[in-house]
Amino acid sequence: MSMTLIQHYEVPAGSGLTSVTLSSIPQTHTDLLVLVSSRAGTGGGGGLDLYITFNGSSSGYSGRTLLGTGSTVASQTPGSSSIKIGQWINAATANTYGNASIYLPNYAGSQDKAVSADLVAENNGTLSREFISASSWANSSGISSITFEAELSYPIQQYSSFTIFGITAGSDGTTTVS
Amino acid sequence: MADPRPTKLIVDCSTGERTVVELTDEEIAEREAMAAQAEAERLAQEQAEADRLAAKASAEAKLAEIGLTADEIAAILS
Repeated sequence: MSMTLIQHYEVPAGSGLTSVTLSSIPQTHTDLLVLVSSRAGTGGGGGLDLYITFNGSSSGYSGRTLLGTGSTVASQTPGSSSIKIGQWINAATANTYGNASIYLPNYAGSQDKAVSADLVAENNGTLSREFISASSWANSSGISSITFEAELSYPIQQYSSFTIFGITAGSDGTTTVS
Repeated sequence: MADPRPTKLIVDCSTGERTVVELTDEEIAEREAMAAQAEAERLAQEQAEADRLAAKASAEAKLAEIGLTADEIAAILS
């Protein structure tokens, strides 16, 4: 197995970005691993969703999410226009960022795409957000771009970062830990 | 002064080129519609969960009325 950095982007000050798209992803790897450290918010209560879409498409998504809030646990079935990775906490402790890990096996194939993700929103308080989700994208195209967007298009805050790695199978044709 | 127009960023992974693009009126309208849909779905899920909890509480009360103990009710509903 080999792991190759494809792209890393960190949001600069004053950008006002409502979405970040990593495009022209090479189709030469076996799997993709995407790491996110980010925050967006309004300063109000509750949470703010983080969504991803592939190849600019707003259809064909399905999935199931388990979540914890610090006081309750629940499951959700998000809509079909995107994949919900999790939530940031609007009023989280200053300068803390949520982090997410997203794994896309066989992303360049023609089968429906599987998406495994988890997210934790950091907060020094009772209110918390932890998500784990299993999703899919019904599309025969390889994933060539990934777009990250906050609920209600709130700006993604400075220092948020998005990193994508290509995972390549070993010479025996399988992805194994060396 | 009006808020600056929202922007999106596209990072080309093959070249590293970064392009900031202002959202079009159509994109803004689409996002507002998606946000409204997401909010409606969220409210529907919350209502469904509230309805489920209310039904559970009602069932527990009815079981208690016919003489089941709290442990017996918990055993049935677990």
